[in-house]
Amino acid sequence: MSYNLNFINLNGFEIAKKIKENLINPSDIYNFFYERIKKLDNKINSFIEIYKEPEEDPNGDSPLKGLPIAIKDNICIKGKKITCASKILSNHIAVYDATVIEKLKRAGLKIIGTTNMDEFAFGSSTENSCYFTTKNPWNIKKVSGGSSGGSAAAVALRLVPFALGSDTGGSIRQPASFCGVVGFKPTYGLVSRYGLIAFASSLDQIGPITTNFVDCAYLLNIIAGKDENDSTSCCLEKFDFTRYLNEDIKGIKIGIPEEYFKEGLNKEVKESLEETIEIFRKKGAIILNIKLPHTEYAVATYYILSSSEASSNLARYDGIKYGFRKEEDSLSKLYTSTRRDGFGLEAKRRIFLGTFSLSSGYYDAYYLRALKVRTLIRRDFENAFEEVDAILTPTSPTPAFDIGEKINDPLSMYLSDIYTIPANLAGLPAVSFPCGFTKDNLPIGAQLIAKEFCDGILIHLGFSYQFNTDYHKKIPEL
Amino acid sequence: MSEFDVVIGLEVHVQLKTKSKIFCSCSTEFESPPNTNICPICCGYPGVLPVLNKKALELAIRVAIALNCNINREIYFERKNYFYPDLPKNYQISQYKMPIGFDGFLELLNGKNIKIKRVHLEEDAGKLIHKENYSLVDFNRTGIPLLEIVSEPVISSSSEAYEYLNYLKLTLQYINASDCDMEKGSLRCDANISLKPKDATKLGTKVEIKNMNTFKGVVDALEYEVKRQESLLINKKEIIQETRLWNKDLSKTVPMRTKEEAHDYRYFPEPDLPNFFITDKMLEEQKKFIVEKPQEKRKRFIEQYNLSCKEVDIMISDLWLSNFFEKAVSFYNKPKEISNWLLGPFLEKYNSLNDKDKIKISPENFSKIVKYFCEDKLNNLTAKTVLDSCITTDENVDNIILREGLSQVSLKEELIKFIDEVINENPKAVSEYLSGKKEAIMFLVGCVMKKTNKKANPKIAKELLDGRINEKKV
Amino acid sequence: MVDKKIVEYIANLSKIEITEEEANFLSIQISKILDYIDKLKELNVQDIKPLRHFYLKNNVFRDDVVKNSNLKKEILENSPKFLDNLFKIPNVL
Repeated sequence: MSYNLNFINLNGFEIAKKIKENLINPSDIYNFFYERIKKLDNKINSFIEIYKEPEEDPNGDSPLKGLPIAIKDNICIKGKKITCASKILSNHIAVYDATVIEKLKRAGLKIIGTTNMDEFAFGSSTENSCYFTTKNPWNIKKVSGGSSGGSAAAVALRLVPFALGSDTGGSIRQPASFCGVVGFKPTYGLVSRYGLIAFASSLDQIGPITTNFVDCAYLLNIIAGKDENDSTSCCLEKFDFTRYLNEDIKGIKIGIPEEYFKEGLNKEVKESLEETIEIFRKKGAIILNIKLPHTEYAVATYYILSSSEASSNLARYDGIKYGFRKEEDSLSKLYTSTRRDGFGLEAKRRIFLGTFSLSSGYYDAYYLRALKVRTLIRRDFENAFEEVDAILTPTSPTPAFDIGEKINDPLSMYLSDIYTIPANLAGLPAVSFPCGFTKDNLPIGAQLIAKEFCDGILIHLGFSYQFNTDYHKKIPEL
Repeated sequence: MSEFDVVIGLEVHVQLKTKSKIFCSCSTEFESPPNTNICPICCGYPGVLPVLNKKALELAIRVAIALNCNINREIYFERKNYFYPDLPKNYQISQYKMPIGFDGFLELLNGKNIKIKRVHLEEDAGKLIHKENYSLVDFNRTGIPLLEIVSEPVISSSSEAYEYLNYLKLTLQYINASDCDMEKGSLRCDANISLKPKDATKLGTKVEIKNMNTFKGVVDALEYEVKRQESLLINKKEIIQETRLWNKDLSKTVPMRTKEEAHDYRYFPEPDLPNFFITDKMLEEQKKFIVEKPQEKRKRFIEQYNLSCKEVDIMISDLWLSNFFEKAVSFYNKPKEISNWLLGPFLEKYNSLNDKDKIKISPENFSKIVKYFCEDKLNNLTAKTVLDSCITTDENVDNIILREGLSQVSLKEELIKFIDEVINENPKAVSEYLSGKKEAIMFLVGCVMKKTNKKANPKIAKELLDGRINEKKV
Repeated sequence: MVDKKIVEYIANLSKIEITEEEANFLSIQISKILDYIDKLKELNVQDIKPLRHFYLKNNVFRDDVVKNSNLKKEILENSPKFLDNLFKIPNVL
């Protein structure tokens, strides 16, 4: 076919437009990406399942109709194997569609497969998957980030126009920054969690991973909205994120928090952020210095709260109702053997940490205390947003690290989430976008955070940034 | 005279009367075939989330008001974490720090208030069926809304416990919050019991008793336990703090076989549910359902209607019945007679129909039957016949009497010819009566009843027979 | 600070069997993590309210209406072991 190669240089919205104008056949598009996955994915292992026949609704319609999308392996698709990259769900077939999946199907998108992740989203490198590690398409010796590493790597290599990931402490944004793509975590509650296999209920959000902000806005339009099946979902009455696809950002106040630029920040990342600040300044944004004084407590707070909730959310995996089961003669052994064999090491570590924090005698000192510190962290942001409209930080202190580098040092792995965690704790929308490359050609990501329900401001700033830069247009060569 | 005080606390779980479960839309219908009222939510599937049933909260508020509780205006749910196969998520969504109601009370007949510590909402677990080598799990019951009602340890005897349970049951039935049927499992009771030396302030070691499946079981179990603990204490033996099960076949409590680990439930606030605000409007809405308490009704019925305790206890055990009674009395102010007919022939028919909705007779119509009986317009048998005819149709009593010609033949003139016929046809009985066999007249009355198709007034027939026979003797 | 005994207690609470070796290993790792988390003790949180929910103002309810799930068959079939429409497990006692 003569028009093949252009697809990887077009954004999803542009491809969809060509479909609408009958310039291309939707099934040709699907096959194009399907073949590309088959040809290239073995180099990075971003996919777990690929569907020859798309999952779609023939009557679906939206501006993105006809396009394939990849889904992280923790979002339920009815009739499909959904495993959270864990042995304990290795044979689990989802019996219902997550709300976001229903919405995607109704919008005419085609689900092309499920992507690799850290088991149950526990991790920042996609090395904790029970299947394989997803490699970074920019350098296959490096991690793709996590836990949505599969989705980010697949989008970076243009195996799909876009994907869905989930973000609890940075799991969309950090892999997006390592892979050079846009990763968006919406305001908590904006997107329904019904059908997202839970890690930490008060922190989890589903969000889009795309190459650009146009696709991001259109996808958000499809997946956002209050859901009667999710008691924690809450939304704006009306929303249209494509309204924010506007280049003019004059007068928007962007805050730079000093706590995110201290020691520990990689030199090249720092320089790249400084360049980003300048680009915004030149475009008319007002740059202000702000303080987020409780930043240093975010990682500790997060690990207590998320592990505690996770330890409870993962109790249901016991081999009785679904999933992996180790047959034993007694019920007690059934539980302990199934969970011993079904969960990986990081999952066990988190469950243990969480169980400990909630247990009698430790609850006040750990769990309750962490909930209170969470208030302090949130307050920092509330104060900051009195002065500014958005906050700009690096997404990660370093670019992608080596596979195997941090896997045996959990604390070091946890600390790499230091810049992304605060937005989850505060329930705020945040996005990572590519803002440069290291001299070794590894992507660098910048993060923008906004006030709750001001997700549009992030689209606005990101779109404007991409108007004058082309970091997001670079494609890794494998 | 015992040297010990008995200290009992009762923990009652009632299923609230909602059509659907507490956090999902599955039916709560009783005795459906196994695993037919299930969905991914109540089966703890990956990715599911709970959404609170409004009616469950409303009924919980209603009960808290009826039990004189303080109401927490902002409540939240918590997870109670433990592993058990009847608990699909391996945690139960319940309430811990912020129950709906607290510091309430239930008044007993002698005026003693049984303090109620707390009233809270939670989800029910499933059912386990134990076979020899394996067990089976049915999730139909998982997620049915439960209200847990915990009393302070202020109950001092098994009879007090019974009375508390009875009035708790009636109170909840009156406000239509629960069926409170122990046979169907919509009311379950566990007890904590300890003994202490009379007038001592320090409480003794508390023993938990489970598996009491009827009200009688509760009484029997508590009485057994009192004796068991008393015997141990008198012999200076230690009472072990444990959980014991009531075994009704052996008529004793036995220690639970499974090694009870001290549970660390790791309660923490449920992150999948927001806090709930109990507004003034919600409270006002539920107050409308609060009716006269069963204890108060009992007292009033005895005083106002001059009925016996036994009669009143039957009547108040069913709010519908007691309401019907009062309405009937408003039409015919003879409470004793109304009560006799209500608790006799009416109740018999009511129980046999086993379905309140089938009873169509109006209190007014019913009162008419009783009135006609009292005025001798109907006799015992014809009144029953009329009742049977209109209890399910509410056909006007006068119509039935007219149509079936059931009007009691009382007028002496009418009866006299039947009397004479019977006397003529039964000379043997007549002479037996004359020779002193009193019972013979009943036989003759029976003949008159037969002849008149039961329409004769038996009292008057007897009088007339006696008169006529003696007349003829002369 | 989280010794082997506590780790074994936690393993029992969370129903995950671990070997003695694993208990030792996890005890070291978790202790290290908790040492870091002790940072939170630097803060005075005495009068601070815990943050549990963000933006919900009104009560979130469901009406008391029955909707029969059409997934009962799939749910039972997903079970690793079932018998006569019931989930089968080893004897509980």
